[in-house]
Amino acid sequence: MAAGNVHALSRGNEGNRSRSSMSPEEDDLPPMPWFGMDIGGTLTKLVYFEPTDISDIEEAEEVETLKTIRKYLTGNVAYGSTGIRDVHLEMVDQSIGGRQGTLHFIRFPTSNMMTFIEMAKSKNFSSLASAICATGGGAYKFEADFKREVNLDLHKYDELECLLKGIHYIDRHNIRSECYYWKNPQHLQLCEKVPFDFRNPYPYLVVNIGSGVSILAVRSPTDYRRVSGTSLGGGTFVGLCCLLTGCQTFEEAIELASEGNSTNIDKSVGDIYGGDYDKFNLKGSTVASSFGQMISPEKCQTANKCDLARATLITITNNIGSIARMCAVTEKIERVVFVGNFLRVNTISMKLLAYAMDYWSGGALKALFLEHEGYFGATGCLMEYLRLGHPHIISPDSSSRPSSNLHQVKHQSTPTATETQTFTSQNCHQNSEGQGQLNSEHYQSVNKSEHIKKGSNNDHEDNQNHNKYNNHNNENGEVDNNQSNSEKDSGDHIQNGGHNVIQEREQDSSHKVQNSDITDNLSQKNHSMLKSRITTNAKYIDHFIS
Amino acid sequence: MTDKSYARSIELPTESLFRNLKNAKQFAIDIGGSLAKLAYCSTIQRRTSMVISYEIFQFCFQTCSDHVYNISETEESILRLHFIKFETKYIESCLDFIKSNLFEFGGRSGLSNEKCIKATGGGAHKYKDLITSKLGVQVDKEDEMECLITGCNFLLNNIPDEAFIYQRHGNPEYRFQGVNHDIFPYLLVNIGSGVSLIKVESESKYDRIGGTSTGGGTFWGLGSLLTKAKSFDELVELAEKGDHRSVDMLVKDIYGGAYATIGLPGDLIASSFAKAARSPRDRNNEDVAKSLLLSISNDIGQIAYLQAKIHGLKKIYFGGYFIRGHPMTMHTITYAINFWSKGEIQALFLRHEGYLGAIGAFLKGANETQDDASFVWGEHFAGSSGLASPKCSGFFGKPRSSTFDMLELDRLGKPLLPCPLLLDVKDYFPDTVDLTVDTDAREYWLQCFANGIEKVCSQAIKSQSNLPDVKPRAEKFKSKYLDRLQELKENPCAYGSLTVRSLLDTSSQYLSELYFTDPYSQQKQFENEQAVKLLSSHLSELDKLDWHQRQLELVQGILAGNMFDWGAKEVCKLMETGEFGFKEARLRLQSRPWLFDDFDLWCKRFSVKPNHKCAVIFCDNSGCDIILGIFPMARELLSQGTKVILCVNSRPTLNDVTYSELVILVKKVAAISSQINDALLSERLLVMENGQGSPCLDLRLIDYDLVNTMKKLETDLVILEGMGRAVHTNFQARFSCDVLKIAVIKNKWLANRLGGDMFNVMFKFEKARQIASSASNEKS
Repeated sequence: MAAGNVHALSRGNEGNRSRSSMSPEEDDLPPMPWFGMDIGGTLTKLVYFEPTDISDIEEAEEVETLKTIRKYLTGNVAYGSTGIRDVHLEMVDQSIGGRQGTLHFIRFPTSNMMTFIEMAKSKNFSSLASAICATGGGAYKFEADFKREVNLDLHKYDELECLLKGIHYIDRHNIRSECYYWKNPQHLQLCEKVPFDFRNPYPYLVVNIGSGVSILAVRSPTDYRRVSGTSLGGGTFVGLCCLLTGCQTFEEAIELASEGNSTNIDKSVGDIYGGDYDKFNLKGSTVASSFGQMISPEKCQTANKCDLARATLITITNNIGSIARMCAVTEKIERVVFVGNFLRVNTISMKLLAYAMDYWSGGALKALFLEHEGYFGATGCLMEYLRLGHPHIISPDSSSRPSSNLHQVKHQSTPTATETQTFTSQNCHQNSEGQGQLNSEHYQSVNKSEHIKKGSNNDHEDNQNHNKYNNHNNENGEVDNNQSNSEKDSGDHIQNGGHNVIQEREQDSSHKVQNSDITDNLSQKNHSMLKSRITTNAKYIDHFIS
Repeated sequence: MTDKSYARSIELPTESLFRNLKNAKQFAIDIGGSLAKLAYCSTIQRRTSMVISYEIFQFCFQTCSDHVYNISETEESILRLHFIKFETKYIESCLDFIKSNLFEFGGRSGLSNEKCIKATGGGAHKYKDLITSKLGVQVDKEDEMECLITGCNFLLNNIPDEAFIYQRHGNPEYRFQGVNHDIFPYLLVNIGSGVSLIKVESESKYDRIGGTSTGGGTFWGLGSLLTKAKSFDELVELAEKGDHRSVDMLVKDIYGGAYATIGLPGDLIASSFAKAARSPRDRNNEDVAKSLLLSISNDIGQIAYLQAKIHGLKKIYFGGYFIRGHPMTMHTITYAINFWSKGEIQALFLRHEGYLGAIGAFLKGANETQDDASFVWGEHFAGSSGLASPKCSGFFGKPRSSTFDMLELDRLGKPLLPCPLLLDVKDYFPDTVDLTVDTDAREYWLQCFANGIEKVCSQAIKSQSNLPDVKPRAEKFKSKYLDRLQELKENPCAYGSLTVRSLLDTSSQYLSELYFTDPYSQQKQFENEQAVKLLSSHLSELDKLDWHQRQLELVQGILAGNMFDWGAKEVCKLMETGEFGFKEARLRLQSRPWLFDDFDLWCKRFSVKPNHKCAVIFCDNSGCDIILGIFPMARELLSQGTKVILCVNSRPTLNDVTYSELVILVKKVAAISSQINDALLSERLLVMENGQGSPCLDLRLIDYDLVNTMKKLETDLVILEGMGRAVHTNFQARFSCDVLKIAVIKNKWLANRLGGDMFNVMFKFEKARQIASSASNEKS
């Protein structure tokens, strides 16, 4: 019902001429279905936008092919023998290009690409669209196959740009907290997942662990660079585990690793020196040589699969952590965001990375993680395809829009609609304090209710932390907005199509920053936003574990 | 010297491994997971000729002698360091062997007298009890890193061409780094089972700045799990045959080509082992081993580069058993460093990287028992193994690296310093032709030395014809040296830069190793005596000439003298006739203009005031050369008020006059020439040793006292005489003072190369130079 309202509103707005002249993008949007595809070395990641605001009339008009695809994708969680929809990651009530809908996250092995192309052919995809958007290496590799088999052009988008856009989009629009870190990673019992406010992220390092590893230094939406990488990544982990244990898949390998003990495989400092190496402050338990015990033929014979898988995982993870840490030092960046499908169902690696970053940097570096581990490239690709510009540019508004939070819907279904409307249609006029205040009040009220509901005192400390973050964010926000201004002048980073609105939004946000009242309001907003995120945290950890 | 001691010349295989064990002392051991390195010091007693002046001879032996000086055979003691590398699994039998040998021979100063043995490396802990029980000594554990660094500093400071850059398919494949007088700071990446990165800022200041557990143990361990290889070296052999592209996912496997926007080439490995997941059963051992080697090498290279960048270090040395001279490993690490640093930093490797820990542990012990450890050490090529070449096989016909490897260093005495008159020490490279690069020259010289071996052998036999085992020893010299030449043919880079100098020096070392310390001693004695007899009349003839004529005659005298070179095979033929004298030699000389003829320029300089303050003459040969060539020139210089340093070899080689000989000879000459006598008494003429024992001259490493004297006397003229010192080496050397380079080209091939012919003359006079920057400073 709420969705219906939204739909009606946005449809109504679309009829408004003055608005559409400001925002021509929706007129130019490509026809459904909307996909973003990231074809990696091992996995292909697919993000599908399922419109949920389809009116009866539209449904009647919807071509059969489109409906088939929609029903097929949303009606299943597994496709063929290898395609999987990550249901727990789906993002409902997303407003994209004026449409409401759900983002679905699907993956399948790139080795099955031809099957996928066959399927697209059998579903008569090319009758709907002449192009499909893709990023990742496979966008180049399979371009000819798509053309030949299904007569589809591949719109190719830059991998790194897609990745960053995806990160920012999802971080802003996930109703649950997207970004988190591991607190007390060295203690099995005390270790816990804690949300992290990532709205003003710059500068940060992205360590994308797919088959291989890419490390990017990101200083602003447009200032990013691939600074390093390593070929020892997820592909190495799976490949080695397959060779060492005879397992077939990443999941199996992780399963084995979770049962294993690498100390039977590795050689520790203690194994070599008979204890700690005090001179260099190396603990006896520190791994001195990964797989070092396997130089003994007897131990080779008796090594157990789980232990081998564990040692492989630890080796790969530690190595990535070590390189990431050094890159952070050379780039003088303190926040390191680990993404990529290597981290899927892989808390061992995440905790290890968290621990390693903290330990070896003496607490200077923070390892951050994102829920949608491997789907940022595909998501960013979809955003690029829909010419939605850089999500960061719209962030001040979008961040104050946890509108579609599942369990908050009852509180705010109507404000959500207003929010959306404000965001899409009135944003350019939104330089009045009143508007900001309104939003702020709204969030405070949400916050209160959440707080009461939860009835927890534990949040107090977190509260202070988040205040700290907020202050920090405001400083950064100012810088970023100024940057946006100067970038606007050059204008080259904005994809054509949607740039009018985007520019005005930028202008708008820079106005706001100059207004201290609103800055405060924003800060409060951030605060309350975080509160609501924290309350959802517990629930979503459960989800994660399941 | 008794005949009995020569019995040792028939060696047991073990004796060729643990050489001179009966004199061994000061044991140290570095026990790694796979390789153990034993170090000890021995005193080498060897026969050498000793020259005794006539007066002393008469006094000692109460007999008369006709000789200008007398030669006596004596035993000299040389301190030698031995380092032997073997697989740790042999440690017990090695300890047994040491024990039995030391006790069997009574161990004069052996282990029985020692209280402790220094031990380092991971295995020091594990094998401590075994060592104590076998040898009955206490084991002192020394810190591994400290030993590594001490060892690394020691090698970099002492051994020329210790460090090199590896360039696969390059010419040369190994680019040696020469002598480095300024080694700090550097990053040492020690790749043992794990990897340690150590920043070294001075002899005593260093810090472990990082490490990784992905090291040699990982390669070996994973390799053992994934392939059928039974040992580390088998694994590397497999890797050398493999093709990683069936195992690794390359950029082009993902992209279909290169990833152009961020500059990743298509062949770059995107994900190591990623293809193995798809069909793990198709993998062959070789491909997996290759992929493993590449991934670990790349990884270490990357981590080393990042640390170097963080700490602002430009020199990165790689050591540890993982490298072990394996070309593939060095190549991948070099590639990684080059890739990540965009060519700014080059990976450096060490020829003796396996010995760092053992050297360090040994020095630790030596420092505790000796007051002065600041000796200079030189590589004893004859007793050392070269860099492993894939084509080369070592002892017992097995690949060398899997059996035993040795390094020997001889104590050279006083510290050696660079010549202060070189224009730019950093820019100076002694050798004219790098035989690792110049294939034609290499083929010629290797063949030339092989051809000349009979001549060297017969001279050696002649010098000790009274000894019964002289022939077997000479044969042994022949076979060993020919083996070495063959090894160098296959792997020219095995012992550092390959040059005419290194070939000559190696020959001398082999001779000396087989107790032919000074095969030309009698020859030199004879020639010196003959020449001294001619000196008086030669001098008076010179005195009759006018100034200009005399200058020409003086130079031609040096040139004629320089003909008497037993190192040049064409001249040997002439000299063996016995009818080749100083006058005959003069007639053979090229007439002016010479091939290089700066005589007029020299006269012009020589005729104007102020005269040079001090000239240092690096002398060649004996007999006519030194007596009739050099001394008259020295006399002329002295008469102009120029002080003269006659500088000769410290140790014998070929027929080059040695310091101990010249000290006596100069007195004979002084008895003939009053000018020489006066100069000698007033210390305007000095005889000094150069610290070397080579027919060539490496001005990077000359005697400490010589350097100081050269500075003190404000030396402003350098005279380099002979092919060895002025053509094979120093031909391109630039000096900050005037220099004369004088030689007769006595090798047809070389003469042709220089655009001339046999017996052509090189007389180069080069005015003092200034480094470009300082010159422009003066102008401004």
